[in-house]
Amino acid sequence: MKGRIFRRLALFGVLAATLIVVPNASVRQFDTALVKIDYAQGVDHPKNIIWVLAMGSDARPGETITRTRADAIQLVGINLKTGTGVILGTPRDSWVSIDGVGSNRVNAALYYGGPQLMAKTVGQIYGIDVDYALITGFGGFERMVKTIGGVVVDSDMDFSDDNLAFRYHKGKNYVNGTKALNFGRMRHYLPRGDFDRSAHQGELIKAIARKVKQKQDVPGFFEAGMLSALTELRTDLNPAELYRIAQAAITVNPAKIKDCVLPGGIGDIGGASVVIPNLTEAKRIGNDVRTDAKLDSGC
Amino acid sequence: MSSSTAPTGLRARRHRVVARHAVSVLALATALGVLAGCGGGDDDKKPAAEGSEAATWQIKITDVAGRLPNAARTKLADQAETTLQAYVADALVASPPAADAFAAFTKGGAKQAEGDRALLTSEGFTGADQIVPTKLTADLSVLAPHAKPAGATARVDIGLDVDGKPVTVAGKLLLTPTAAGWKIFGYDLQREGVN
Repeated sequence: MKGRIFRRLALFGVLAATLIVVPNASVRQFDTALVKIDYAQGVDHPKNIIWVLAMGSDARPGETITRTRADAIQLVGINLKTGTGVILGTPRDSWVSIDGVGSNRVNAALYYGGPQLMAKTVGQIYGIDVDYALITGFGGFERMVKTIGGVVVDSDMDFSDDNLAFRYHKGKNYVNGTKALNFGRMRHYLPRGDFDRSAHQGELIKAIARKVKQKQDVPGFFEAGMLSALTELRTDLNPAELYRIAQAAITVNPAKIKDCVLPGGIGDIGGASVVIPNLTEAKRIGNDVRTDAKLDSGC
Repeated sequence: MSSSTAPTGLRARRHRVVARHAVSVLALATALGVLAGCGGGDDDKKPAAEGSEAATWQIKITDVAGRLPNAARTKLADQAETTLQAYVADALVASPPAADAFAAFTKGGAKQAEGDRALLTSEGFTGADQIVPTKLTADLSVLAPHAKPAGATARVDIGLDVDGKPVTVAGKLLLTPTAAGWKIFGYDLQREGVN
């Protein structure tokens, strides 16, 4: 008896709910509409994967940046199809074979053969064909970062620069101008020296990518950044080509960019301290990322 | 070399975001519909497409990185209008779209756009009889490093009357100078319309 009453109450409840929810049959004009939104995005580039060797030159005033030694050596892969990316950092003191030169520090390739030889040398380490090489000096890098209003880097440790002028805290740090440059230059207070510095350079590139992505919808932001890049970068590309490549590059999702520093150990060559890179590991990393610019297995 | 295609991962993520929003909007619309459901009874009056007046392009150069003399600005605005108008006329207003709907694109851009044909042309307006442009605006951000335009972003807002229903296509079209005039080499557009 009690159960039957409960079932009747439950049935009444369902009917009551139905009466409330089901609208009347007449056609009504709603003030609210369900609007379908579709997106389409694409940028013309002849390749799905672009490999760019980004270099920072240690040129002093009066020196030609394409014929000095590279302080920062970062091979950046961008997959325009999937929106993924990878940054491979090579410590500048890595002792490698340079075509026509012999064994030397990798950064000497820029001094001996300019960006072409540098791109060939770094490409051979990983077994990757570099499409573009770009190079900037200290001042140029600082000005480019200033143009985009500084960036936020995620530091893996607390450290100071060599002159103790700037301090960087573990976690997020807003950096601009010289503070941004020094984040990628300092190594003396870093536990792993050249390896940590290379990792910080990769983080700087990711921070720039994040800032550009964040601001790319601000009218004129991208073009102002491009003008700064054209002024500060040494490139053989004409402005229209560079504009198209950069527009393609910013389709990449910064959250899907992984970075990696080529592992190795410290060695002694003729009394000089150098980095002995693990070239077997370099080939493995190259095989991992070559066709998709996606780091699947870490480094 | 193979031509690149649209970054499907990014697009898929955006679709997921839109889908989540759609669910929220659907829930809200349902609730509002319930509240509004007591009244009603008016006829569903849709404006006739024939009554819509076709808009003409309003193009402004809003940002120039570098220097661009006035004469070059005027010329660029005219050339951009030619390119944008060709895209709108061939792809969005023509129903069905022209066979060469992406003639205003670079070769690679056109290949890419073919993959998004349903979104970038009137094919998405199934069986539309008449499509009239009701709003055509573009704000140009220009890169002009040597007093000569090297590329531009056109932020477009395109309103269409599709058989009496409003549709908007808005976002960015990326323009590049070529031997055959300015062409569209990239797009980042969203289309909104009442289904």
